[in-house]
Amino acid sequence: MRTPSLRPTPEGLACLVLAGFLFLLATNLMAGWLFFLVAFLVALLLVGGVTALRGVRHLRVEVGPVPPTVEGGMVALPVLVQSSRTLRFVRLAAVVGGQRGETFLPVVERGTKRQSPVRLAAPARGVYALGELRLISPGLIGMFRVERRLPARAEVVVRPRYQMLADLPGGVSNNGGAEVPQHRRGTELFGIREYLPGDPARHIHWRSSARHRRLLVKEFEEPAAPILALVVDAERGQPPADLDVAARAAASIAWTALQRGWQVTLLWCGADGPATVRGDWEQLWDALARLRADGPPLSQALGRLNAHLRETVPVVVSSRPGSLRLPVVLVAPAGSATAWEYDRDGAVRCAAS
Amino acid sequence: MRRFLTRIRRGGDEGSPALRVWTALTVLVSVFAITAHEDFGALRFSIAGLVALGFLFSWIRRRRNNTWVKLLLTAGCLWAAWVFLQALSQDPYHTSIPLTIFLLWLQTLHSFDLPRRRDLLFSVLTSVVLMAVAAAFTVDMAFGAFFLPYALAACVTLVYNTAEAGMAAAAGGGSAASDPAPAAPPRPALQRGEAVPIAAALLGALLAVAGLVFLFTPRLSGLFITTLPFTPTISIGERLQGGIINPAYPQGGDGTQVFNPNGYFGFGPNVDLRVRGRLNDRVVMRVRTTERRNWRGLVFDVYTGTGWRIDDHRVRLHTAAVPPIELVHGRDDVYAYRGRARRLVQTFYIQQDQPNVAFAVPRAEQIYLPGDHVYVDRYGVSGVHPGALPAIAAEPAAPRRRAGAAAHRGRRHPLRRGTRGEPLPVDAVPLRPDHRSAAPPRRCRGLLPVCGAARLL
Repeated sequence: MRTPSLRPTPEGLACLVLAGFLFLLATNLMAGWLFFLVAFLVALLLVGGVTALRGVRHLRVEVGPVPPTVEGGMVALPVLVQSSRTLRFVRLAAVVGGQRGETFLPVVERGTKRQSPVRLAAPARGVYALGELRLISPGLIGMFRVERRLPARAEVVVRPRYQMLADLPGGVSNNGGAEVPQHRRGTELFGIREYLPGDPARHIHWRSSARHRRLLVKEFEEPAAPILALVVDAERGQPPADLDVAARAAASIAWTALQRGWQVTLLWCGADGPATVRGDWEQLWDALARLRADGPPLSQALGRLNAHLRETVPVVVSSRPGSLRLPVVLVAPAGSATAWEYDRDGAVRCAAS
Repeated sequence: MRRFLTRIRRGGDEGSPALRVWTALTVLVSVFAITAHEDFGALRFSIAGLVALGFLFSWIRRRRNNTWVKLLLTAGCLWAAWVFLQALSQDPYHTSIPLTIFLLWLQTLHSFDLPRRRDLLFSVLTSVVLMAVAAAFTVDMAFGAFFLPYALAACVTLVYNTAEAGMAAAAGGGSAASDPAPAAPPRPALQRGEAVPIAAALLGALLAVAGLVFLFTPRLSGLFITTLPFTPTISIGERLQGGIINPAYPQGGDGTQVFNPNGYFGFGPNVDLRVRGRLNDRVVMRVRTTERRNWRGLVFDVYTGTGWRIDDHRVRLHTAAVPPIELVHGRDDVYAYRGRARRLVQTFYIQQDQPNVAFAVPRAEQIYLPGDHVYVDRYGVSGVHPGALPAIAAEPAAPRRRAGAAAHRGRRHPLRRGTRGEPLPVDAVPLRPDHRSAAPPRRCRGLLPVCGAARLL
């Protein structure tokens, strides 16, 4: 624990000034009750200071794993509070990404453990390290404010918000709902099985049927879902807010594609080179939360990612399209003269339509 | 500055009903404490009723636009200030009463506009000032009957305020976010009635600490930053050329008198030692002083066989248009005290009819008196040691008067041998402020402070 800081509140300052003034008056008038009133004001300050200090000395806190949150939502830090004395009017405060949150504990009973989540507004997309918790005690009468900083290790992941899109970017499909991959039968022979009512007659394997003297049909393997390669421009130097907006657009595209049966692979080129995430939505979403602008320019990034883009449908999301002349679908901020554009809320639409 | 203004605008919450009720009680107790003094007794119930009404009114209208209310309150404040200035112009040396009334009206008007918790705290702060004024006026233990309830109500108010400040901070703890604001977290509630036992327990600790602080508080000499609380506007009648009048024995003169239990028979030109009787227990005056010190009163210099008589009637007239009256000692004054001079302040609160003799420490240099003149004997004499007079300190003493700061530091003073041949200290006592009617006006009783600052030799 670090040394607590003791600061008078406005009420305490008023009490102090009043006590000083009344002391002068009492000295001038030699009024006994006035001296006692001064003594009472001083006692208010002393007792207020002692109760405030007591409030931060006997409290122990632990922070558990923080569940990921979404931009614009709430971060709830799970704090476990335990006190060796009964304490009142204690506040727990935390600062994450410039957002401050506090929770008020009217009473902490002696010896009991209780969960007291500290809620705060989620900051912008990203990963934040919680280094400390602030324990604030105004005592019982609010004359002083004692603050003690307690070490607390926790990681706060704020994921980009997203929305369901009406259309996926062009090139992935034809316009107007044809994007859904067709779950048609494939052409590769998978095996032979017995005929079931409803099987098309053209799939009957006559040779095997003759040999086994019963109807057998050819079975074809299901085709793999098409892969959407979602490339996010992580060029260093771009404002964090721009990358946040691009991440929202990428999240919207990924969510919509997954809902429509696509496989989605997230790609970017960061400081450590090309990175790929393929998996379920949670993994993609978490990767978008951790995305940082520390990569090369988009043209170089695409060159490095080229090997990962084979047999995929590439869609590039970039906040700075520049003079990119590559055969990919480029999704860029609204007003950047690309066919597909996104806004700051993550909505993606075809600018031409 | 911008942050400060933002905090001011945000202003905090409006305060719970419980906080408002306890704040109102705190203010009401302070109002009753100060109006317990008879100078403000006429305002007691009107002010208290208006304060209670104001708290109710401000609770009802706490979320409305109160522009017209503020305009009316401003007019009320201006009216109170005008009344105060009028009173001040009539009596510029006696500001305590009109100033207190002004403060009472300001507190009353303020109670009509308390939309936020911060305004309630201002009311509590003003109530402390009211209690301080009441403490300055009071001279007995009756103030304790107001102080204890006030302290309890103030403690409960502070506990509620602390709890609600914590709630408000937790509810609005998030800083401004660029993204849409999230929903406010649930506001924890302080359990009903929880604050009172906390405050009661706290009050015990506070009184114990306050008692210790009170014991160790240094009582320094008066700093004279403010005007001493004397009453300069009382008519003290025509001059009597230094004659002594004892209202308990109006006939004065020689001869055996009938004992009057309301006053000591020795305060006059003569003291008849044959008079017998027992004084009653009425308190006739109270005195505040910066240190314990004997008084010098009348000095009799001739023993008549049945009593004592003042034989030396030479007095010196001291006048001043504006208090205090400086007491310049003459060459023929007789002193007996030696040693280092130091400052001493005595304030007399007259509660019963008094003789026109001022008891004070010897060698008074200044007297704050409700009049423009005072007579001083050149010395006191024989047989009566100054230390003997405090034995009757509870007896009638001088009317409102004040001793002053002295000079003659370190001078050696002649001694005069008394009739019994022993050296006796004599001094420029008594002070004889003239007033035919020894009874102070009703307004003075119980308050009338007579302040003095004297240097003792």
